[in-house]
Amino acid sequence: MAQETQVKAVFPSLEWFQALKEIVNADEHYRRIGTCDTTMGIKINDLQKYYVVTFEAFEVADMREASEDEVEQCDFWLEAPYSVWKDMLQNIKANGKADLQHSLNTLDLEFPEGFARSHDGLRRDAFYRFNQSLQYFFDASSRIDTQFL
Amino acid sequence: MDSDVLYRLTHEEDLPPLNLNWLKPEDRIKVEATRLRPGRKGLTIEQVEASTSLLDFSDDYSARPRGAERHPAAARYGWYYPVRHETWADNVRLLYEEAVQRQWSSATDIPWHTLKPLPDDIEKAWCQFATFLTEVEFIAGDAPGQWLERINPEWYEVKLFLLTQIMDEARHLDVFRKRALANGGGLLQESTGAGLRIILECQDFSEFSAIMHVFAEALVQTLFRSGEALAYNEAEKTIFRLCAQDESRHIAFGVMHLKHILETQPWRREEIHYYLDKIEGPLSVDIQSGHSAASPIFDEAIMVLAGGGRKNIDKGFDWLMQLRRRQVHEYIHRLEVAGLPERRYRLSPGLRAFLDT
Repeated sequence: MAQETQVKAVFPSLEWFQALKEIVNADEHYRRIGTCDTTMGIKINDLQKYYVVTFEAFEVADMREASEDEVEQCDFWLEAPYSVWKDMLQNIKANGKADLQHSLNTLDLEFPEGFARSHDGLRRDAFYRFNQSLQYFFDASSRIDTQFL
Repeated sequence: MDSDVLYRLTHEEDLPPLNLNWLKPEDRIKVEATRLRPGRKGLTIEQVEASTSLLDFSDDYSARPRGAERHPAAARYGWYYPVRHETWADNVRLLYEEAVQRQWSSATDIPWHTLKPLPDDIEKAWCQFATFLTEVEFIAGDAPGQWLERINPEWYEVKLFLLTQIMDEARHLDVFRKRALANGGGLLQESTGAGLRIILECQDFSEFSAIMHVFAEALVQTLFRSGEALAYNEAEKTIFRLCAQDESRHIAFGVMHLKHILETQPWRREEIHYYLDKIEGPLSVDIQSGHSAASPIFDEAIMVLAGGGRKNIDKGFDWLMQLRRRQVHEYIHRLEVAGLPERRYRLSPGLRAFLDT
């Protein structure tokens, strides 16, 4: 996590997620956490922005814009208003990684409906089974020069 | 010296002729044709077993590996489950590989340097909390160990998965013990352990899995996830996050095993309810006091931690009630996924109260 910021991208955008994918896939530490096989949806409802991220083996295999329906077909999706996403990413940028109040798990506990949601309790457990990898994924955004809307 | 012994010492014994029939050189073409290459995850069990047809029944009680030729003089090793469905889960191979890949070390993967002196009541609450979890994890390691020798080598994947679970539980025991000792507090009060004994007294694998994986570990997993709110530093937060990951694999096995049993042996539905009745009562929760029957002092420790100290125990109580609600809702939701939706209406009263709130 000690690399210099290289990429400038706007959140949310496909370019931003692509940049994150490239950073993570080039990161040997991410591989050492272990295999991660899941599909994760991203929902930013107030902007009507939706993305699907596919994790496969030791890398982020795919990243794409999607419809709300497609996001809800994922193992789980992360859903929050834009302000929450912005706050989380700014915190990650400031600390190099999420602090105690901004980790995915903490956010999940703070929302009555949860931050990680799914129509299937077993598939939702992927959020917990791979939590360390997912947190590392978002923490890697500290290496992007993120511009907000 | 006896003349017979003298003879044997001075003459070479007749060696049996070599028998290289097992080499079967005529099979060379077959060997070439079935050679495998590692995929993106390396060479996984899923890959090497891709062309294997799983037997549903095996009355072989030797240690014969699946696919090996049977030896007519092979010794029996004991009694194994002869029916695949009785121990199988469709996700077992994936979970085994995942477990092996995602191991961690309590010595080096926890940022222990972030532990700082805490107010006395908080530190003691953490130590009491860690003491009980050390005890719980001791049982959690012993319980799957009891079933290893009953797993048929024909379905060895289940044995491999249980071995990873034992390693996971060993690490949990170790990491909570370290936390109790690392900040000066030490181990505090032992529990009565009465509820935990039920897990060790199971007489059937599916009973064990329903009680341990689907019920007990589900409660613990929700606690660990929620435990990040009990963390006062990065070390504690990391402990919870990593332990919750491990517990989630165990639950995934249990839910899929239960689903498999209900699909392949549907006549066992009432039997499964009986097992859940057995565990829900003793490990249930008194909604008035918030205490679980397992260990009231454990719940008191949680209340002190969640409240931010002894002074705010009411706030801690509210947090504990919220945790209980989450635990019960998630437990019921997993049973629905497994194919046991009617459990919602048969829950022990101590748990049902949380469904209605």
